[in-house]
Amino acid sequence: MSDQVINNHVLQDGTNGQHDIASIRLFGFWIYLMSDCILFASLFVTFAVLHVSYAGGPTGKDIFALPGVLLETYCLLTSSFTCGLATLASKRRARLEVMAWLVVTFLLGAAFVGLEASEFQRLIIAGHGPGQSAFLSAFFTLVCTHGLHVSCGLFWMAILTTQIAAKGFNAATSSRLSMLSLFWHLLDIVWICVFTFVYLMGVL
Amino acid sequence: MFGKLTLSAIPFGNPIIMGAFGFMIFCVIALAAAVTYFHKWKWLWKEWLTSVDHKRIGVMYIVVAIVMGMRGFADVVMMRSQLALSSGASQGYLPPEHYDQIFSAHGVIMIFFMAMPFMIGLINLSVPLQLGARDVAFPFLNSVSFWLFLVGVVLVNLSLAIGEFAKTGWVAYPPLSELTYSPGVGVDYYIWSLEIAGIGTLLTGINFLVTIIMMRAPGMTLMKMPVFSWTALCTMILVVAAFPILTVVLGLLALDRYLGMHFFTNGGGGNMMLYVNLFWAWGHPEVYILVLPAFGVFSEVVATFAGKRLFGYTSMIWATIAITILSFIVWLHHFFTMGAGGDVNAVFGITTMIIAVPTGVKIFNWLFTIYRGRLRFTTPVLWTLGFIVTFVFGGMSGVMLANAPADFVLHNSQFLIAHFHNTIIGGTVFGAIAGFTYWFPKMFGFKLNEKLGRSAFLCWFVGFYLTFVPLYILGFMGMTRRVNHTDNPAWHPLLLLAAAGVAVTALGLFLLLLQLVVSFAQRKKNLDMTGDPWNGRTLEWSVSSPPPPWNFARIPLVKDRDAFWEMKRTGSRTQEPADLRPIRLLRNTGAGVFIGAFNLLLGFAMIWHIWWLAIAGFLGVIVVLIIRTSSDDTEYDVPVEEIARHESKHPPRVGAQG
Amino acid sequence: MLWAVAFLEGCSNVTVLDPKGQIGAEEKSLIVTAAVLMLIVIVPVIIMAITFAWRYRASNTRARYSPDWSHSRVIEISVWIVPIIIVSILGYLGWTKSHSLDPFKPITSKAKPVTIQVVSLDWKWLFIYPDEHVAAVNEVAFPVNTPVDFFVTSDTVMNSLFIPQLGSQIYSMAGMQTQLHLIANRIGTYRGLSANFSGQGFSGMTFTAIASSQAGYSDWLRKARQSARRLDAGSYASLARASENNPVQFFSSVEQNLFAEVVDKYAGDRMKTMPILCGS
Repeated sequence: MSDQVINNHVLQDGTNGQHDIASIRLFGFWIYLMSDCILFASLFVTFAVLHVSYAGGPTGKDIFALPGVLLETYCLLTSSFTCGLATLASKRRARLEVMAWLVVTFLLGAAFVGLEASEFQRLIIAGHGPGQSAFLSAFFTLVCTHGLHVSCGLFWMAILTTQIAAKGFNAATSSRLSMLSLFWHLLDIVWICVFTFVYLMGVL
Repeated sequence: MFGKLTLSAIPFGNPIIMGAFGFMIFCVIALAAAVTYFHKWKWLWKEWLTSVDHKRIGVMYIVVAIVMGMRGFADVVMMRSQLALSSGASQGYLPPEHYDQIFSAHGVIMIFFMAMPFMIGLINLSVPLQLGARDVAFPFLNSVSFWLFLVGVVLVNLSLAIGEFAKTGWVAYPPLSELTYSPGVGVDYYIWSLEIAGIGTLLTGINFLVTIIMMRAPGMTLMKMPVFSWTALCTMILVVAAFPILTVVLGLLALDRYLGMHFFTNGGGGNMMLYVNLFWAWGHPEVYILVLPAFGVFSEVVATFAGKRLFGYTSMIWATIAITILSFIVWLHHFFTMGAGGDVNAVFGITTMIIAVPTGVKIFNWLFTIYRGRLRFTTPVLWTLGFIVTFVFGGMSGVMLANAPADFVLHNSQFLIAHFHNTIIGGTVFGAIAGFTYWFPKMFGFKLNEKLGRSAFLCWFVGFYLTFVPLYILGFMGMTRRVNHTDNPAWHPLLLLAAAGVAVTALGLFLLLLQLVVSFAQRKKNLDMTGDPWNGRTLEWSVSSPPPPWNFARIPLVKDRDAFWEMKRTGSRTQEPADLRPIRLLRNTGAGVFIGAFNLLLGFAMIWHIWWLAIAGFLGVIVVLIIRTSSDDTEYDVPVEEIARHESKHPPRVGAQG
Repeated sequence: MLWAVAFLEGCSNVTVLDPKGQIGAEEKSLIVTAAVLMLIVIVPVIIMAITFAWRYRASNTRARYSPDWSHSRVIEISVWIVPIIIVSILGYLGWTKSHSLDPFKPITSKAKPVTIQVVSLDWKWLFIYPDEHVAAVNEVAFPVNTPVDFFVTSDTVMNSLFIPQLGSQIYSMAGMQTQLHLIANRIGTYRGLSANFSGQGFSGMTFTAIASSQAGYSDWLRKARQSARRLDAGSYASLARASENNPVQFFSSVEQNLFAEVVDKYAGDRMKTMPILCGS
């Protein structure tokens, strides 16, 4: 029996015919995102352990300015929405619309990063930098790690938008867009946790 | 301009270090000279360094692992000889400043740069072949992983002569590893080599997890997958879940050291217990990352050489899954003595002992595979039998340590050292050598010399007991670890015995290296012409030795466990060359090498506070990545003629039983 | 390995297996119990490994060859059940002993306990007797059959207070106060050490623990009180400076609350964190 060969399924590419490259890439990216979740979980654990180690310095109530945090949240959550719009447009292969929504997402994300940077600058100038106490070390590191992830996302967004502008929509760019939007939404979820467990619970 | 780096960083006054480094430089130069002499630079670059082929990458991992194993073993020789000499009035020949670096480097090298890459190398070699796949899911990422690992290797070796290594033990507990108590660059070398190599490992974890889940041959359900691929899957789950924790904990230590933060410092509200918890939350899964692939190797070896189905496949798989999950809830047993209280200590003691159960089940499954089989006593089988006998003692001492009150008198003693070497050497090292011998013919087309292999095994087996039984006893005699001098004369004879054991093991190591040389010289006599030198059971034995770059001309259809065995038995292996189509493969690329090179600059610069160089290295990585992702021409098609030519030179075996 | 254990049972050098105190004795019995129970698994495994490999070697064609036999319900059940039973027994023992032998748990005894405060320094041990107002470096004494309540901290990196022949060890950590409750039931001089690597002088960080009669203990205290040295903030600061292989020293008086000050030096607000991590 020549049933050792599935004539229709012998593929030239290495994927064994079970899954296409795009879904393999996306699954791989999901696994990376799960590992990133564990990274953030470790940072949250660190914050949980150290969040009352004020060492004579300020507490959360002393330094958190909720209005600014609220504004940051609006920017980031809205950017997630516009990212979703970009994804929808990509399904319709509307190249210009995708690029437009990506630019809007970028601007909102950049606003988030800018607001966060200015909050940190204010704190550091007032002498409440991460080196003052364990609480501040944990706070700065957790929020900054999230901010760095967002910044990397912005960088990636810029490069991807350029690539879409130059080469249009192909298999590579559309799968990268899916991965980027997954990344962006995850950062949203992490921010909600930050907002709740760090800022809100610190002030209440 | 050069940060903290000055010429005084090189310890010119220390003859041992200068001698060792001189020897390393000499080896590198000699190697470069040989490659030049034989005009092999282009070949080396094109065929190996830029390769994205999992088989080549696997071989490179193992080569580096063997070299680093020798470096780690040199550390052993120094430690054991120092302890044998420094009793009572004698201080030995290694002052603490040097000795403390040696045992720290020994642990880091053996775990991160010998055992892990060896296992990852074996997984690279065989898993895609076992699955009936052409390569891993992300071959470029595979190359990047290797080069990031190599950056860690280079940094650790540079620390020998440029600066110093950590003097904290391989776990680098704060506050000792903080700037106050470790002001030198040693801990920074530790942090950056592990952070960079750790990224590589995490990428490997993602890569193989996706490969195993998504790229198995048609018909190969998870419960028909070879056991080694199952243990690889579980290992990769552990990698993906645990390595981010290591990244965080070392990153936090770096923030303390570089930016004056207070995560683990003595003052400022820092909490050293947090480090210990985070470190071991990674650390315990890590030891299962080391041992699960070894378990997989033994499963394959026993079944193949007993000519019999593996006993209890299903319970093996469930036992492996149980071990994977349980390994995340035992970490506190590494610090019972930190004072967590009766409740917490008791719970973790119980979970630790529970993990012994599935491990024991596996041992019995291997034994009952031998039962009513026809066992051929090849070298891999000897290593397996050696493992079964040796590892159970390690498990026994582990259960003895698992209950907190027992641990209270044995924690950090030589008993503990003996326990974990018992499991790592008896498990991981024996498994690595067994797997290496088992798959060597597949990769290189000829078998290794059996006689030398057997002698090497004997030396390792005897050497192990000679070294570590005295250490078990010394633990009961109250000797703690990481001392470079002892003052109890009753201990001295045992320390001498342990040193003798190291000498015997060294002979075993020498015989293994000799085996490589002799086997290469005799290769024409031991050629593997069929691709199936052992009468194997799994798909990697169905292709030529070495396999073509595309692994399989036609992806096999799998119906049973032990797919190849069943194909041979039913004789339905043949097919006529119909429908051969061009096969798309990824081109080799130097991008991985360059990413490694820039990361090396980044790591070195961070260690020595050369900020402009660090930025340059980081930007270099980004630029290479952007260039790579913008490139369209990354694949090529292997023409049908080439595939057909290979197939006709290596006709598949038809229905023959070995 | 159990042969090694049995061999050394009587050897007085094998301190952990020759405990001189109740805590150590209970810990030893737990170790031996675990070892013996594990042998129930280990011995059959070794025997099977040898006999199976020999009997079913390829050249022995008389042995039955069943290449497809790979499952047996009886075997599966036994290899799961027997270890589960062993682990259950050890788990029960572990649960009760982890509670009864918790280093933070005081020892019940009619005798009045001796309180000793311990500070690990680089690279020596400082023992303060708050009730006797004396202190000693690298030597500690207490009467036999009397509970000793150690309160332990560190003014440097993490160490571990350990007297192998008496029982448990406990980590010493800056800014924190751990406890260790031991009792010596035999007169003797026992070796003490740090069981957690703390740097350059670690190998020399040993001390002597003297368990003596009540009279002997009083003599020791008297010897300490005759010392010209006093332990105050100044002399403590110079003592805390890094030094190795320190000889035994005594202090005839100790500044009030010195130990508490050492703990508070780093405690800051850390004492408020998770009670679980700080010990019970």
